[in-house]
Amino acid sequence: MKSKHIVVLVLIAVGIAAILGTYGDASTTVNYSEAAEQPGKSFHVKTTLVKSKEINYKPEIDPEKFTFYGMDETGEVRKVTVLKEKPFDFERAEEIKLIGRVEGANEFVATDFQTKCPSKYENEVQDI
Amino acid sequence: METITFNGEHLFIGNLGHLFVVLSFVSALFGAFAFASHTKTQNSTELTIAKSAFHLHFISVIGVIVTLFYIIYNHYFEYQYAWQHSSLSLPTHYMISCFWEGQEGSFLLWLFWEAVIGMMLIFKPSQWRSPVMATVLLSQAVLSSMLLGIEITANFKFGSSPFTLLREADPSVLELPVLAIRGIAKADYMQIITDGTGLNPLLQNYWMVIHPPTLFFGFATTIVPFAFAIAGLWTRDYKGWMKPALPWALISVAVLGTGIMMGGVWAYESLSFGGYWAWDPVENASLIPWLVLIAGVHVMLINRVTGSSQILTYLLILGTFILVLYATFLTRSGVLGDTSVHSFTDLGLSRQLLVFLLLFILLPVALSFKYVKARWIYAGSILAVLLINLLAGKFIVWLNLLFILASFIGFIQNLNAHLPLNKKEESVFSREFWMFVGSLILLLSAVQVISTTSIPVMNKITSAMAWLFEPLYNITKVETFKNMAEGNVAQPIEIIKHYNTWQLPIAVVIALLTGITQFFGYKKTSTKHLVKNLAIVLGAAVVLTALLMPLFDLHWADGFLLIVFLFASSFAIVGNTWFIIRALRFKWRLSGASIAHIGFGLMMIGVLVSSAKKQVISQNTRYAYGDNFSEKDNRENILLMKDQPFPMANYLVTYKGDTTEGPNTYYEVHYRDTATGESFSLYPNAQYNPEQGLMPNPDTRHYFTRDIYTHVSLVPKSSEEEWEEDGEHAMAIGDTMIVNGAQIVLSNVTKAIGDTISSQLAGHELHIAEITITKGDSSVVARPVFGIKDGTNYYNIFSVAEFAKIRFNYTPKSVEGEIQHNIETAIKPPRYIIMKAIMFPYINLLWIGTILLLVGFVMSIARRVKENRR
Repeated sequence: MKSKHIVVLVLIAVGIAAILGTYGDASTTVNYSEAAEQPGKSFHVKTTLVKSKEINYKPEIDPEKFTFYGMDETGEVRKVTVLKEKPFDFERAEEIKLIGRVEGANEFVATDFQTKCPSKYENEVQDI
Repeated sequence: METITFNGEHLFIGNLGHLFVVLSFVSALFGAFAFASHTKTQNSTELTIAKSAFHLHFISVIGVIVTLFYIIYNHYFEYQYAWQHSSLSLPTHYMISCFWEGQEGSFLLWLFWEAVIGMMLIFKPSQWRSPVMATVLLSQAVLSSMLLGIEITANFKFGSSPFTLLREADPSVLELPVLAIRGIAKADYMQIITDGTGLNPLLQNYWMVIHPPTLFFGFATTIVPFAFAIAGLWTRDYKGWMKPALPWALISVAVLGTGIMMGGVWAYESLSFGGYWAWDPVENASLIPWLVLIAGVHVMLINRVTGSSQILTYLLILGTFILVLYATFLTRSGVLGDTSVHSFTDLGLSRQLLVFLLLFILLPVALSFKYVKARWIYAGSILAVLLINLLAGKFIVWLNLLFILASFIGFIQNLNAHLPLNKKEESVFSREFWMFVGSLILLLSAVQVISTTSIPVMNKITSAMAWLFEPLYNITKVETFKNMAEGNVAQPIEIIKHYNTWQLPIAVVIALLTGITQFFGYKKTSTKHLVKNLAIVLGAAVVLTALLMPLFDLHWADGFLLIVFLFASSFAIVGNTWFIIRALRFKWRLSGASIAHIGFGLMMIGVLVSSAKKQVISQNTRYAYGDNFSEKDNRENILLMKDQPFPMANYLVTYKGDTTEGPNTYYEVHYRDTATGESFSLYPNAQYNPEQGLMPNPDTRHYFTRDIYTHVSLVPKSSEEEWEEDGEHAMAIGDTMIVNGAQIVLSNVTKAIGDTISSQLAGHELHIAEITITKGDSSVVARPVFGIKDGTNYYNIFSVAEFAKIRFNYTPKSVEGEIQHNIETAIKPPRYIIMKAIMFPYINLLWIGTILLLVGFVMSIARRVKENRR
């Protein structure tokens, strides 16, 4: 066997390991109750902002903490504590993808999130 | 259907633009056929026709660009593209940026660059011209078809036209309530469409003017090496294409590299990502083809000298362009969804993009068959698979995957049959062996990035194959299989750590290979020289590492691998410097590769130090963590009250105030170094955008050895100071209270007749409260006035204590015969910003390394172009 072939085979093995590694490190998109089964472990949860409930943010007390109520894809609503500064226009957000964990009895603690605002397009037409 | 003649529209120009699009599509397709035919017949008339078709195509592409620019320049907002991406107030120099804000415009930019490249290729007569032009024009046809905008069925359209009218794209503009309210007829709807929604303000900076064109030029150049490889397969000259393709591949590496670096500098200088690279899918999408192409260039060099590694050359060069298309698919089809900070909209082109991606994957496979009959049989099998998919009415994922896998194996086998097998054992002591290893490791790096970036795509595939993954889960109980079946796999939580786990060891190996490989000769190496050079380089690298460790404040405790990485990068720098001195003896013409490698080494040290020793100096230490929050959660922002100095690392920082200029508000943050007394101000800015909220841009203090990078994360909504009601207080004379941190005493209330004060106040009865405000050492008296005229007209004259930011109003009330003094207070809420500051040490090494890398590429291009001329 040529030394080149050995190198190719070894690197193919490492390549497969890298792909498996992606799945090994990957997280899962779940709903609240699934996340609650493993408290303390981080997941991705897709939520929508419950606009009728309050968003609480007191930057003078803690600039990196705010709470809101988010509904997951099964329709369950939980209070979410986000350990980040509240984005300027969070109130307008619709979809909020959370990265975080269930802690304590019922609370979801998000360490990161991404928001989707309604598109520019829809808004403009409504605003005219 | 009722037909309305709409007023105030400029339809001619849009029709003209659309005509140019159709013309560019047809001429590209026709030209591709003509060049293909000429490849076979070598008939000179066909060549003339093919060239004319290309020229017509070139003119049409310019025509599309000019018409679209005319529409934007003249503010014809009846066109959706102009309405969506420009506005009346947009400065002319940003109008050009409108081209690449929208998807159609970015396809147009790509189309333009490829047309320019075609123009460069068409003037050089050679056996390669016709087959190469045929492939370039095929890709031009594909790109212009993305702009056709022909609706085939209700939910399948072919391309998306930049000349679509707003009312066509969204008929609801004709039903807007405002039309009915103002009594405007539908035909006159343009009366209310007076301005566009404008270019995203985030994109209104000079980076946006230069970064996308460079990146797209880089993408566009990758077609050339691809087209040469195709030409090689097609004309069965399996090796000859590599020589003319090499300079193009190098140009592609240089331009694409410049584009990627510009993105990094842009992100660092004016976006608040908190760094120059975030492993964002869009960044990855441009990095992946670049890595593969660099690997490709290296194997092409091996080939040039030794004639080996040909199959790998084909795979890497063909793979580069296919990965560019894949990147386009990822970023333009909406499949990435919310995994990226870049926002995308799906124009419904995902199926079209996928089909084109497959076309360019399968084209080289078909041409790899030597005999024309076999090529047609393979083409027939593609059609059969396509037909089965169509009959099923959906993508049959497993069948397609199986077909692509079989095609890939067939491709390798075909090449194996055509290319003379190199029977000779390659020496482990040869340059080509280690370059081959290095190229494969670069490919490995790309595979790892593809794998993680493609999670959303894999979800689509694995959930379509739930019939396989569900049973697998039931048998093995491995949770991952269940997630795959449900398509619920998400990006790793700690994404940076995930990439570092793989990319750091890969970078170590690549840096080591970069340092040593040039000391091997092609084919065989004199062991004596090798050992001598190796000993010198190794020794020097160890010394350099030992010197750099204290300089960068790096210790073994920071991580074993980091120190190894520092050593490997030093090794690359020392090795290549020594190579220039010793082997090349300062022959700069030959030094391109070594310069690029030194640049790579410096870049890696810059990356290493600026990320490992990056310090978020705005650590949030003021606030206690709640019970629910563990220490690991990052707390990286601090709150600064206006004019209140706050200690942050070795600085005392003070938020001094803000000024607004155009759409931007600049926040003055004053830094004072408590050790040296040095002080400076940074002006991070932010602008409010209705679509994306607050968009902060950082400001950075540059030193040679470090950068202090600062951006605001949150600011109060209004930029002007406004009074806020504080409360109403019933007081007796002599009473004391605390408002806004100041002591308030109602000292006295006096009555006066207005006449005594001013003739204008004749007949007014005035009640004047005397309020003493004390805060710190200063004390003032405020005198709010309650006035009555004619016994019925009441009014208040407020009094402001500016230094304590309190406003007073006084109203006496009669309660059960007693006079009660009502003091209303309003305060100015304290101004604050929440900001983040990061110290990046030695980031300049990264920029210097980057520049050297690019200089090295340019030197290599010059060398190879010259060689080909001979």
